[in-house]
Amino acid sequence: MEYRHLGDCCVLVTMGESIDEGTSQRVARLAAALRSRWLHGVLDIVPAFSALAVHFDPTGVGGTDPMQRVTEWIAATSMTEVSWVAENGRTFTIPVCYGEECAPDLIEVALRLTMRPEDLVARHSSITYRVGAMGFSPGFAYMLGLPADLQVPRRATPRTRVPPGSVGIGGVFTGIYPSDTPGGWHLIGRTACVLFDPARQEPCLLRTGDLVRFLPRATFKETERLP
Amino acid sequence: MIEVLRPGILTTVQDLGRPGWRSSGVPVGGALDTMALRVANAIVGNDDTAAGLECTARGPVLRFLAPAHVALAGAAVDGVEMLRELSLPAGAELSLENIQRAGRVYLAIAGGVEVPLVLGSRSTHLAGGFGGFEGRALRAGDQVAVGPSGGVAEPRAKWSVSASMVPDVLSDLQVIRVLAGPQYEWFAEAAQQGLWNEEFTVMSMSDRMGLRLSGEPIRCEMPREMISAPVALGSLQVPPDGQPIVLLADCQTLGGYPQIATVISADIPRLARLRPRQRIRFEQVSLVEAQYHRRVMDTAFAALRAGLAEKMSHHGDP
Repeated sequence: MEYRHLGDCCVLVTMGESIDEGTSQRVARLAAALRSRWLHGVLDIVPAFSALAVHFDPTGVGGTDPMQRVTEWIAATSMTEVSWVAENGRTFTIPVCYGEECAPDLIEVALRLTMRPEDLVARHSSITYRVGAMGFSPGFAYMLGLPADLQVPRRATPRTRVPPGSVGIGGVFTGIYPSDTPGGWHLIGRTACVLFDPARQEPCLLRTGDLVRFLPRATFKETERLP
Repeated sequence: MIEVLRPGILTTVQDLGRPGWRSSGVPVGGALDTMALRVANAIVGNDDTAAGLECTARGPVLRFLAPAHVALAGAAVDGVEMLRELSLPAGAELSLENIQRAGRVYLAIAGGVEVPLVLGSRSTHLAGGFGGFEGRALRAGDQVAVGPSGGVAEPRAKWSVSASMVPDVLSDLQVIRVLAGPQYEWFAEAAQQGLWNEEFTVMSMSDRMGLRLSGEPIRCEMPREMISAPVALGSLQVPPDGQPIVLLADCQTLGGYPQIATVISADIPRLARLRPRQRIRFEQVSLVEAQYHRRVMDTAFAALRAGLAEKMSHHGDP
């Protein structure tokens, strides 16, 4: 583990140099352990693929060197690795319409991958993915596990606006755009499931560590409910 | 109630943001110039957490439907007194249209702007379309509610707060203090020297997510592939074109570009005072210095709050 400061109000802990499930699981476990013994003055604990950030309010943490205090708290927590509680990955099956009106890039991507579109859909929906990190936009889950034969570079020109619920693939990732943000991934389907709603008790449908499968549906209308 | 007669270019409800949700991908958000908002709130006797209006480049014209005590902090506005309490009668109109040099100004109102709390904050998250007033910038005709205040009936302010708390950044070249970032060593020495020696110009495309800079490109050799990693307020990201972006309150929680430096927290409010075409230079400081400057800023604000509380408690004394 390597500690660096990100300005004077954030500690960055780097735990690996690659995007793989093992590393992101270790990061998620450390995040859970830190949450279980939260330090006063800490504002956010943000796990990513191979690194974790702890944002803090220096006045709340206190002392002349709050950075040191936060770093020592992380180090002390990480020493108790055996007791790190693995956040239980829940399993979600998300209905997706891969039909033409929901999948503007499906045919083009299938051509690039020299696959029939229906095979691409069958392959994409046969895998159980794991949420490696949350980020990009509220409720956006970067999912790991996309097989190598479905990996394509991001679009040369990102879309300025992606319809909410769009299912995309880009590089090693697949994921769902929760809101109409710009986006550079190829859109191969769409779901009506709401990935993020600030009014819900739990605003995000998904969280890091969750397992996700996509269930093909004939129409967009049929994707409104989780099965 | 405040009625918006003309909305200005970008007028949003903001407070000190919504920390605690970054692990869900929700930006911390809130006022870009937190110090200006805090000072304005302190002047009208509000808590630090009260929401106010952030007005950018050209402010709104407002009508106050009930008597109100307001204060302005940030960039000077023509024809309006800054940094003191203004007591407005019912029906009064206040124009913030002429913000000097198209800067950013904050309006606080006794009782605070009353909008629903979303994820613990009243700040507007424009990209997400939630928080603030219906998740968007104010428009003409909007009626914005005001929270209950201490019920101040009389103008009590014959004083104003020293501008040194929120100094405007009028001179052309500003020095912004930074710490080396997590990928600083990824940059060749020439690029590192460029960061310290060159001047950068603030671009007009800058928004609440980031301050886009233009200057001699900072090239990164990328010794290995960058894995998207957490970013912080003030992270200085360098995209492949070498033109750095300083991340502001509405930035993403993770970033995929190398981070060469991070602006110290005491200088974040100053970033919000920069206007397009102003020039900046970066100066490296140590973590000890950064923490010292932050303590100085917090101490100065605490002293200001204590001083104001003193003045307010004496009001009405025989």
